[in-house]
Amino acid sequence: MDNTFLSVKDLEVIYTSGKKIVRAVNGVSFSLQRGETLALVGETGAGKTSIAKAIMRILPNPPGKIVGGVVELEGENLLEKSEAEMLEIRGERIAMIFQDPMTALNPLMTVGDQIVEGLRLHNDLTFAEAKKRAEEMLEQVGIPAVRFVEYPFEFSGGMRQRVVIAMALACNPDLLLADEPTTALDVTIQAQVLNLIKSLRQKYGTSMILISHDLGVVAQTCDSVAIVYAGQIMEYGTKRHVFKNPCHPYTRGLFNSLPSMNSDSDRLKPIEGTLPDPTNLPDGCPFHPRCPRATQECKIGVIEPVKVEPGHICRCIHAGAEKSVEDSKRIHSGEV
Amino acid sequence: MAEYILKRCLALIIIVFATAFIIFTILYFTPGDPARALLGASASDAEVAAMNEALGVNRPYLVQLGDFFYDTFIRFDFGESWVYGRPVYEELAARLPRTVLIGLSAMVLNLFFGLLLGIFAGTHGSKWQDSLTMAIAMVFISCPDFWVALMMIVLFSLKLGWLPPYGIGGPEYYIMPIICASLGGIAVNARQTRSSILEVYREDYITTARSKGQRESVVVRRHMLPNALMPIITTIGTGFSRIVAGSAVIETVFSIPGVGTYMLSAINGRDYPAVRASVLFFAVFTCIVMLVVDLMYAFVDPRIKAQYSRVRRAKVQ
Repeated sequence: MDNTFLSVKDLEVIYTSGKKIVRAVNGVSFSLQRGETLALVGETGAGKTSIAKAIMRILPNPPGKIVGGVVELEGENLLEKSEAEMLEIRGERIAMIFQDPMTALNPLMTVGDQIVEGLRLHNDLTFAEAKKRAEEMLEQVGIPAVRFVEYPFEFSGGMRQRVVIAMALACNPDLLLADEPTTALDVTIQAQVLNLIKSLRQKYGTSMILISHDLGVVAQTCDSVAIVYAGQIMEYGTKRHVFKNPCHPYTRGLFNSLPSMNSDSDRLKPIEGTLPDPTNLPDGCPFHPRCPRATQECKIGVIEPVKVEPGHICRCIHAGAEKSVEDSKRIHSGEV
Repeated sequence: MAEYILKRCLALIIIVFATAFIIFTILYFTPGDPARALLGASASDAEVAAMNEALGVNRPYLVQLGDFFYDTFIRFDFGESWVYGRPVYEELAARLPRTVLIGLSAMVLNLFFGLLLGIFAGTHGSKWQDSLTMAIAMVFISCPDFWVALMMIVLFSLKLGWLPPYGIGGPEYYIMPIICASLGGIAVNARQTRSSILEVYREDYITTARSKGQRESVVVRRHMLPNALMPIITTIGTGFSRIVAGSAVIETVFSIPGVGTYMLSAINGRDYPAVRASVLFFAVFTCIVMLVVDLMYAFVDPRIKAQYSRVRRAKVQ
């Protein structure tokens, strides 16, 4: 485990709204190896973005607050760092790409100045040097360097997202948090942007946490996957584990709600119901009100994660038993 | 950009013409007899008729209007004061710097302290600092200028003896008038700034700036403030109208011989040439300040600047 680059343990984030407390993240733990890509998958409002913002400690406070847990970057707990130390880490060691490129750039600054801003914060560069570097970054993301002096409103959505990527990668961070980087883009641009992130990441050896609700995107880009539901990780494993052998009923529900090219089924099977009210999470497994397999035991106490195979964890009391049956089947049939 | 400024200057000329026309017409149709007001109740009817003849107010409306426009805009002659007999131009020239000094200084104070307090309140959103600042702002918005002015005279002149209570002289004579003229505007600007700051506070690009590792103070200065500035600039414009309207009150309370007091006494004495000239002065002054304010939009927002130049480009094609 020496190679662990980022480790998050029991992270808890709450938002206070008046007297109500929204429990956005409830004891999330995962770890990331250097150069690895982890996907956080879940519905809107599941707490994915809160996890990413908590790692960078840029949750809007108030109302957001980290109330527990450990975030270790190369063995140092980021949650115990002073704000001044965090300023050094943000942008330099951890960078973030945001969901909506239309709003993620300051409309009143040229894109060049916005890239230069981050560069000069973390490197001892003159403006001319930083400008040269920023122009190189623009070229790398496929934008002609002459557009350095243009404003965000002169760029299309895809181009803006390229600028955001250039900005995030300008300081060559160790960890990239990509918060639904392609959600706001149309599909052709989506593929371009994903490939761009992938190639740049490989070039610089950057680890990445990709936040997405798009399993297709996840399949293309990631090494491991964490399925997030109501601020908890429901299932966590390598891409192969989760895609080939989804154990949690929620994960299966997600896959069932995707259209498949291979099967003849003409109807998708959506997961019934909606996310539970985060101000009033149900007792027991947060998914039990929507779960087709829920039993009485699911409704009480804390559901502990179960290890279904090495490196594959599932937070479901039914996973183990059922798994062993399926496992034995698969072992017998020689699949594993 | 240059074309836009030119257009605005043309508009300014039209506004000045319109103002001149309206003020002349209103005064023409105002009931009452200027000569009677000038000569007093004891004057005989013959004297009044002779005076009216001398002033030329018996002539038809259009003739008088034409004369007025010709004198004002072609000969740049505002006529002579009916009350004092001195050229209005001289009187205005002597008084104008005082009014402009108070008006512009108050505007600078409005902007500076309004922004400062607004940013302070906005970045401390819904904490006690915010509530306190906004409560004080509310007090200043609700207090009438003249009352604040009188209270300041009582405190700083009569009790403490720090500042002269009224009149003109050295710079110290202008301190209280300028502060009085700006207090309400500061409060309005502070409230506007606060709400704009709160609006941009949660914008994504602010999070982007923070995620770069930028210090909060720089995030506020470089990212929040420019984006919050648009509605604030609008408030500055309306705030200036408030200062102009208030100048007559402030100048009266502090006995400052400015254009405001001149206009007031001219209206009371039915000194029409003086009224027309002072009103025109205020119209031009306000228009120029508004033009500067509008140009500030383009200066702050590249999108508006691009719009102006796009208009030009489209015309060239």
